[in-house]
This record gives sequence, C-alpha cells and structure tokens, in this order.
Amino acid sequence: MCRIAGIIAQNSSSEQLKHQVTLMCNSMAHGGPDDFGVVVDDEKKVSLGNRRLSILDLSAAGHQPMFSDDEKIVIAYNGEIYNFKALKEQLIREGFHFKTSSDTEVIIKAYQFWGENSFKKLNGIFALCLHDKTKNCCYLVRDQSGVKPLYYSKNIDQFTFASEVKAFAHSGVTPLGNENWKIYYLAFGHIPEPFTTLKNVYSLPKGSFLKYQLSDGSFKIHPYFQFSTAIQIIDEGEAIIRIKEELNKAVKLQLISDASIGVLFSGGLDSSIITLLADTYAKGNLTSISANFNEIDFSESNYRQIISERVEAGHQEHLITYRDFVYNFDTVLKNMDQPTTDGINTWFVCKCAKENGLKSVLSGLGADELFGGYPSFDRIRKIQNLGRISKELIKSARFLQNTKLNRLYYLSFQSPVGEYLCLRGLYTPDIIAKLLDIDVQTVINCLQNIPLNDTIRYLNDEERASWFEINMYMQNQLLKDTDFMSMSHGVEVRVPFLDVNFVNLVTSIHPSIKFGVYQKKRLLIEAYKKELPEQIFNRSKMGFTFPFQEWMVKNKEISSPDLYQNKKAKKLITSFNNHKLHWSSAFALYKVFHAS
Amino acid sequence: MPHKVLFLTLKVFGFTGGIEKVCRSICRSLYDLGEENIVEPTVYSMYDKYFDRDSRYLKKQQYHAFNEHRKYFVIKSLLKGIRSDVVILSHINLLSIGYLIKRFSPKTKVYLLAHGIEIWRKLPEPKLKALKRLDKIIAVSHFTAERIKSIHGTKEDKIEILNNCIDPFYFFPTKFSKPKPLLERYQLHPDQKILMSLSRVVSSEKYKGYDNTISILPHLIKKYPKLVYLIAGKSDDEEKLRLEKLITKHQIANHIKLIGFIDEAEITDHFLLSDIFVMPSKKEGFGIVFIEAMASGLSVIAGNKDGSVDALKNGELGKLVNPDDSSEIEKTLDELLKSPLNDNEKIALQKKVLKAFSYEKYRESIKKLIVYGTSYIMLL
Repeated sequence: MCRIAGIIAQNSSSEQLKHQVTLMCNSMAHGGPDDFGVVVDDEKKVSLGNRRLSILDLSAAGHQPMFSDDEKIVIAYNGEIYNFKALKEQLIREGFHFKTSSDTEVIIKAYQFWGENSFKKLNGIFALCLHDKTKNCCYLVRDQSGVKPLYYSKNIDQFTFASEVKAFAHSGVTPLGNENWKIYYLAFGHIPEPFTTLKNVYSLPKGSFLKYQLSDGSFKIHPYFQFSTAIQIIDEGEAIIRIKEELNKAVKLQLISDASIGVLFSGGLDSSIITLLADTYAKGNLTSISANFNEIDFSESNYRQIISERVEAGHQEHLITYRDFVYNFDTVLKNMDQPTTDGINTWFVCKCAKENGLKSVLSGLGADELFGGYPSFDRIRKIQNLGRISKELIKSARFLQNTKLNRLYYLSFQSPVGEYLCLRGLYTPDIIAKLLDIDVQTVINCLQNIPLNDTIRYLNDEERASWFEINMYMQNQLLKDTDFMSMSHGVEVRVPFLDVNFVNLVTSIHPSIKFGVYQKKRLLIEAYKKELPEQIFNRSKMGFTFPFQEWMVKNKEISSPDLYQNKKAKKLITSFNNHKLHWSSAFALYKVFHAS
Repeated sequence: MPHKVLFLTLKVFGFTGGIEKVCRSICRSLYDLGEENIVEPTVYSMYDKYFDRDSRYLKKQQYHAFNEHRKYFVIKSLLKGIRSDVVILSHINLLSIGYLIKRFSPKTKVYLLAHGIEIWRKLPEPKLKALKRLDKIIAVSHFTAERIKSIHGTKEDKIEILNNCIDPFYFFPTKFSKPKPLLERYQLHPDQKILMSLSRVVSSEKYKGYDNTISILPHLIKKYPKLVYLIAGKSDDEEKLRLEKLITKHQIANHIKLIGFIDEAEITDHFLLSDIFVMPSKKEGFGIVFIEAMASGLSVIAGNKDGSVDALKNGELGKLVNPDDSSEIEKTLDELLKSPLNDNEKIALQKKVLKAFSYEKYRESIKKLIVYGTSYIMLL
C-alpha cells in the first residue's frame, strides 16, 4: 500500500522530472512513510515515483519503483494483490523465477506472461503505472472495484498521474481549478467521478486501464473488467452457501499481511460479520478497533460487547469526544484530498488503528450497497413512479418547505443522475444557484451532463438502487474518503465485501431473494444467522455515524451565521442551528465558504 | 422496582450557566442510575427546545423539552409528578408545581435545589408556605443553606448541603504546559504571567468582581510589566462598552484581553494558559468555575463572602479574599505571582479537588438522596 505519482514529458530534463515527481510524492508522504523511490527513463522521459507503506515483504527488496529482471519493465504500484501467492505459483510453473516475496514482482511477471490480460487476474485493491519499454507505452491500471484511486491529467507538454489530486499542485504545471466543483459538491456532497476540483484532472474509471503511447503522446482508456449482471442464482439455499463460501474466502485472503492487522468494528451487522470471520482465520492475531462516544445515542458498546465475548481478537475501544473533534478538525480538513461531507469518522478510527500499531484494517464497507442496507432501497419504487408523472409538476417540488421533499425536483432531470440526487442529494439547483450566485440553468446543465454508465438504463427497483449506491455513493464518496482519510495516517483499509469474486457472486443472485421487503440485508443475515447473536441482526441500523449534528452545532466556527456573507448560506446555517438542516449540508457550506 | 424520579427544570441545555451545569450533572446521574436500574428517570424542561438536548447527559426518551409552553409543562409535570416517587425541582420558580404535587400526592418526596441569589431574597407568604411543605431543600453550599435558614426561617433538618461537582465530561489535563495554539492566538509569550476570569460579562452580573481586578491591575503591572488579564465569557454590548471605557481610563489596554465566549472544548486549555484564576465575586451560590479551574491545576482567588467558600473548601484549595478589599486582592495576587505552583503541586491540587468534587461522588449523593431520602447517610 503506497502512494504513486509520475510524469511523462518529452521536453523536460530528467533532473526536472525527478524533482517534480519527488515533490509530488512528498506531498503524499503520509500514505507512504516507510520508503521512497523515483526513477527516470532518460530517453523516453518517463518518471515514476513511489512512497511506500510496507505491508507485504517489509524488506528493502520490496523497494519501488521496481524493474523487471531485464529492466524492460518498470512499475510504481499502490495496493495489495491478495491472490499474489497463487499467481506466483502459477508463474513459477511457467518457468519464472522470483527474487523477492513482494506482490509487486508478481504483477511485473504476470504482465510479462499474460500482457494486458494479466490485469483481470489480479484480485486485490490496486492502482499502478507500468512502463513497458519494449512496447514503448505506459499503462495506468485501477482495480475492479475502484478501491484505490488514480488520477491523471494530460496537456500539450506532459502527462501526469498521482494517487491524490493534491499532488498535481507539485507537478510543475499550475493546475487550473474546475469551475464546476462547487456545484457538484453542493449537489452531491462530493465530486463525482471522473471529475475533480482541478480542471483536466480526471479519475481513471474502475476496472480500466489507460494505455499511453510514448511514440505520439496519445492515450486510450480500455475497460478490462465488468461485474456480471446475468442472474445465475435463483435458489436461496444455494445463494446462502455461495455467499458464505466466497466471503469466508475473501476474508481469509485479505488477512494476508507481514505487518499487524486489525478490523474496524462498529458493532453493526457488517463489521460484526467481518470481525467474526477474521477472528476465525487470524487465530488470536487480530485487533478490533472501535470508536466510542460519551453521547449516549451514539454509543454501540453494548452490541460490541456481545461480539467481543465470542472472539479471541484483542479489542481496543477509543473514546472520541467533542474536544477531539474540535482539536483535530483543521487537520482532518487538510487531509481531505477532495471535498466530501463524509470521511471524518474514518479519519478518527484510522487514527485509533495507527495508535494501536496497525497498518492494515478490514472494514465492513460495501455490504449495505450490495444487500440493500440503505433507505434508498425502500424509496426507489416510489421514486421510479414519481419519475413517470409530468416533469413540470415535479419541478414545483422546489417550493416545498421540507428539504427531503424538495429534492423531488431532481426527478424532473432527464438523466438518471436526477434520481440519485433525489435519493441522496444535498441541495436543489435553485439553492445552489443562490449560494454560488449563478444562474439555475447553469447548475442544471452542469449536473445533467455528468456521464453515467449505460448499465443503469436496464435496471429497475432494488437493483437500480443498488447500482446507484455502488457506482455513485460508494464509488464517489465512501471509497474515495476512506482511501485518503486512512492513508493520511498510513493505514490501509481492506474491504472483503468488495472482493471481486464476492461482488460477482452477489450481482448474479436474483433480486427477489437478495433484497428483503421487511428486513434490510435479509440474505446476508440469513447466511450468518447461526454465527451472529440475535441482538446484532435484530437491531436497528445506525450506520457508521458520529455525533456530528451536535458537535457541529456546538462548534461556532461552523455554526455561527455571522461567518456567512451569502444570504442564503446565512439562512441555511440558521436553520441548521434550529436542527432543520442535516450536518452534512451545513458542513458543505462551511467547506465551500470557509475551507476551500 | 426502580424509583420513579421526575426532575423538573427551567433550562438544562439551552443556556450555559451555573444552574444549568448542575442540572446536567443531575441528568447524567439519573441516566447512570437508570442504567443500574435504580431509578426510572424523567426530565422535563420548561424552556428548552427539543433539539437542545446534549446526548451525553441522558437518553432521548428520558427528556421532554416544552419549548416555553408553560401551561403544558405545568399540567404534564403535575400528572407525572403525582405518579413519581421523587420529584426534584431545579429552581425556586418551580416551587408552586412542587407544592401542588405534594398536595395531591403526599407520599411523593419533593426536593428543591437551592443555588444562590434566586433564593437569598425574601419570598412572598404563599411561596414560604409552599417551601415549608417540601421534604427537603438541597443547598449547593453552606452559605446558601445559612441564608435560607436566616431569611426564610427554614429548619436545619429540612436542609441538606450538596456541593456541586465537576462536569462528568470535564477534560482533566495530565500535562500542565501552556498550550501553544492559544499562546499564538492571543499573541502571548510563555513567560508572561496571565490572570483569568470566566463569567458572563453582562451588566446584570457585575458582582463577579472583574471591576476590582481591573482597578488593581495598574499597580501590579508596575511589578509585573508583562502581566495580562484575560476576561473570558460571553458579553453583552453595554457591558463590553463599559469595560472598554474602564480599560482606557486605566490605560491598560495592552494588558487586558476580552476574549469572549470559550468553546467547551477549549476551557481546560484556557485554564492551562493562565497562571491565576481570579474572580473575587460576591454572589456565587457555589462557583463551579472555581473547581474546574483548580481541576486544571490553576491557582484560584475567590471571594470569602458567598458560596465560593465551599468551592475553595474554606481556603484549603485556593485563596479566599474580601471581595471589597482591593488591597487584599492585590496582595494575594502578588503572593501567588511570586510563588507559582510547580507541576507536582498542580497534580496535588487536581487530586484534592477531584476527591472533594468528583462527579462520581456527586452521583452517589444523588443516589442516596433518592433511595434513602438523605445524601448524608453513610453506607457500609
């Protein structure tokens, strides 16, 4: 797990490239505190850099960027390949010899053997750049579930890539701001892929590789993997057996580490399952990390207690107080690579993990999206039906007082983006226009033009909700936040529910057995009913939430209306103080007006 | 069977004053006792809004805010009160409800919390009559207890003294160096001697004694040229203007900073920033701020003519001075400035304060009061 960066610029000197890539890597040093390396191909002017957080093969042999034996291939890589041992064995059988015990070397040799087809054989979380001197090209590759980020930018003189958007400020080319980022942020609470806060800096889509031709500086993005949408499992019994089989396998595989490993354990269903499974395979060599609060409404320690009694894992509970929130708030904002209304919770729990000497932690992220844990799964049918009535009538929803009903306005959009924003959006276009002092139509056009994958056209009901949650909410917000917030402490978050085989399996289960009408995540519960205490699966969902509503109201730096010059913002912050606005909406105002 | 306890309040969370702080500690005590299944608590607040609740102190189901609906509050309090084993009134203004509860349900124990000035003044006859019907008056200090006895003629056995406590969520420092971010914020040097007071800076609360401290500052500055006095607390415009004029008059603008409201998260650090907490007040019922300042290892100077005497344990924990005697205040400040506490002395002070005024001790007293009808009982 590391941070990577690189520049390709024919007209720059090698020294200049080395200097810029070093600066880019240094700006991400928090994510790779253990080692640093930069290489420049003097002839092709390809410079790759890496900041290393060593988890597999802690020795110097894992140093990056790494060359192939014949030095024709060089790689800068960020991530973990969970199946690297199996691939290695296969490659050894094919006659390859290995010098290190790192997964990086396996990627190189897999590429040497299978070429571009090797990417889909990698099971893990990864983002990498591979320079193939023989084919005179560079590849940027991102994992199938889009867990690890990878951003790129191309202008006339140079091609740049990095694990964080912030690093582009050190690339030697002054980046221009994306004038639309505030619109995106106020509508979504994050910046949707492929966009970023910088103009011409884009996110590489998950399951894709970008092939850059060094001969003419052209590039093309190729999808190398897509999750299956074909329904194959229609029997509940079979689904349960397969779910247990694949998830157990994924957890076992993801426990691979040469450094200490833990699990983020909230006490909710998903993290309880992961904790129980990880404990089975870790054989006592596991630490569970939890955040606790003085705020009674938010304390889940009673639920955690039930699980803790059943496992061997050492349990570490950290009290996070309002004082901690106030004292760390500026640092959290600084560590936020891209604007988001989430991730602060991850920042704190990963800080706790770090304080316990952990470098890797497993998380229950992904289960809600796959198995229908969110309210959107209940609302989607209503939303679909409302979407069928007159668009003009729907538009009048913006005059409604209730902020949730207000969002119905988004159903007047032609693009499915409108449905997502109706389910999960922050502000409606008219409010955004007032906040940014721009024309409403500009806001509407900007939001309607966000590109979406075609798959959504063919999905309905819960599957449609699941697609939105996986490809928009989780992809653009949860995974992105989790990556930069955890890496700011040098902690890697692993997500067994997003294991490529597990996701493939779940997407092949018929929705009628996958999603429960009366119970959320019914199928997952059915699968682990024997292992889980009843109190855990019968409890009401709380989510991974902190007492932010109370804390942010209390913190005058955020909640004082006097701090906001914009009339609409002032009014909204006043409603926030009267608890008529959710903290995430208020935080978005703070970020736009005070911390951007 | 848990004891059904109804705690009636004016405000608990919608305001930050001494009385509200006491109410919060009681709320958390009731919550904790509820978790132990000793009590079944209900808290009603007449003026709070539903969203004012700080969820550290009690559960949503245990709290009902009436948002200034006074009639509704009275009716609901009566109905709930007569079905309760114990009713605690947080303020004398709730006396009539307590009286009615007692009339309709004589077996219900009704206790009144007596803080400070609100009960030091003479009461009209009907209120006095109602006061006599109560089972007990819980005074926050000996001073308040004495005033109740002398002004209202309340019998000794009807009064119990229960000193206030440090907030259950107060942050106790373990290191006592001056916090760098605050030194930077106020542009102060670590070697500078810093005095501090913390109270509402409003025209109606001049008895807090900061005027006296301001008036003696010019003398002290001669001896301690870098001395700075931080006046903390939310201010109203009128009082702020008056203070600014006073500061100009004494020509000490470089030595006084009106730092305004301090966020709860930063209170401890402000105490750590300071060398002496000085507030020779005249009308404190108790003065929670003193015990919190001392809990951060800070030397305290308080007045000897009110409830502050209890907070400083008759001078055992800090210096008590005549609040009207400027020269005594100046002399005491000079003494403390000359011989500041070292870290070990600060730790010792912190321990002593905790022993006397910990939340755990307070909760135990509340438990005894509810279960046995008196907090004085010693359990083996």
